[in-house]
Amino acid sequence: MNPLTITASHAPGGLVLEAVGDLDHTNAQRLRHAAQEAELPPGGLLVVDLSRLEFCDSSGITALIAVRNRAEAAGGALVLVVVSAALRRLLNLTGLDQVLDVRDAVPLLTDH
Amino acid sequence: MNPAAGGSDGSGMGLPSTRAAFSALLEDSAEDLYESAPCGYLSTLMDGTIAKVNATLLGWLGLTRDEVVGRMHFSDLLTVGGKLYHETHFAPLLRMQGHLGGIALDMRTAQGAKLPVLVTSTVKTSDDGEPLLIRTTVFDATDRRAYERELLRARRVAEEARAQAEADRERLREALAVLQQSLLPAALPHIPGVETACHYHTASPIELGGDFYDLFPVDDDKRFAFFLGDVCGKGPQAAALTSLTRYTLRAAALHASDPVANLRILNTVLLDRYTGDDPRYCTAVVGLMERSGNTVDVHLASGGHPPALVVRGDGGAEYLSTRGGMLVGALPDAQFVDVHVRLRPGDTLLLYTDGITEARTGPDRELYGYEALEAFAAGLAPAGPRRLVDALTGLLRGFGDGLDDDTALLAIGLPARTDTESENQA
Repeated sequence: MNPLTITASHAPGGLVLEAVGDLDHTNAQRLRHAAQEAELPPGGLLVVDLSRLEFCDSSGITALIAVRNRAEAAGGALVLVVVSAALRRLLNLTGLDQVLDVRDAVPLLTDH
Repeated sequence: MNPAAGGSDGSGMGLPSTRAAFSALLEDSAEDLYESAPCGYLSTLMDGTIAKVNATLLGWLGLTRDEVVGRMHFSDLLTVGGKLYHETHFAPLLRMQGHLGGIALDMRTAQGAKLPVLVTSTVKTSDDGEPLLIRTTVFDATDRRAYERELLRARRVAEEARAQAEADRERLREALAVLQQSLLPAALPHIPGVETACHYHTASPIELGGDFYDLFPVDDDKRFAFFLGDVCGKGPQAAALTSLTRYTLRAAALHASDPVANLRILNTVLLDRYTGDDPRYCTAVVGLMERSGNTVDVHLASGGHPPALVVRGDGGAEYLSTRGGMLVGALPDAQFVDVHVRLRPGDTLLLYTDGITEARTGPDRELYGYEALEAFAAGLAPAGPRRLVDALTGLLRGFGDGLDDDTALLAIGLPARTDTESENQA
């Protein structure tokens, strides 16, 4: 078990939330809260950087969907940064790679 | 230095005030020590008549020396319960042993109040061994008895709480077991010419799992529908989602004979029930099977679920790709992908949940994975449902603590033709 740490960094065009460790049913709620508390500028990008995530279970996936729904309801968009093969496979298996913007590096956030 | 001289110098033992107190103690008379000792003293004749009593005990009892000495027996100082105990236990034991220590008794004061005491008695004998009198010390045990009572009360409360907690836990376990069973079919239906097998591995006895499966006729035993899936999360909320999913899929299968349509109905129902801020989803494979001569035609659809595996009667195993199917219940425009497969005699279709592929194995706790599962099944081929499920159950058991998720297995197959022939010949 690796503890989950979530770090937020603001940029003019949006927000980056970096989640490091294990994202599972014991802590997935924290990712939702972190996304809820974040003030996303209208039309801004919410980047959830999972490149240093070690593990993600079904509750983690649920949290990612909730975060996406929230970002879109606020007029923004979600970008997922995924490096691990296991998480890519999970996103592929669940078909989420077709509806989520999955990238392999954090995009440059600039003012619109 | 002369140590003897040093010792002599030290005999005064320090300060003058200490020296004064020490000599006052030495001058303390034995009589005064007896009368005002911090415990009660009394001496009685062998018949219990009180011959001598100290002021401390008289003070506790609120009696005068004249009222007591020569007039009262030791047992007269006790409560009714104390008297009884004294007559039946205390006095006989004392006569037998000559000494009795630390016996808890209740005395009664002149005002009628109860005084809990601890009593120690010794029989004094003459030179030729004849018992002469009984010497008794009495300690006020009010505080101690209150403390003991409190200890007993606290222990009783703790024991009651523990019994209650155990009863509650047992009730919870029973409720969870019943609920878990309600999420799975009691038994798979008999399908002529088709063999089926299933297994459910529960990772935790106190946490409801989120895997489910079912197999049931849709019209007159000609066609059968089945499904197997996994809901997100664990516990009661996952069980509620499993229940909704299972009954929706059962109803949908009777309503529409298209597995993709069944998943769409489930998607709509789950989206309606769980809102955007609290999405819930499941992954599932839904299938419809129909006998066609010597074969069974299967129409499968997947919503974000690991691909079904076919173990062939002529050897080998292959996944039925349903890539692109999305998880069910969290996305309004979810796409589901279907596939058709024809099972020939000896073929077995295996549906499973990712507990098995996500299990950790070996010293490096590597994921067991899809390739290993395919190779394991291919190594068994040809294998009927029962043999396949039994072998996989053994595999799951072998994972030990590397398997921390529930796992459901459902296998459907046609017995090999040689089996049927030998059965017919028999």
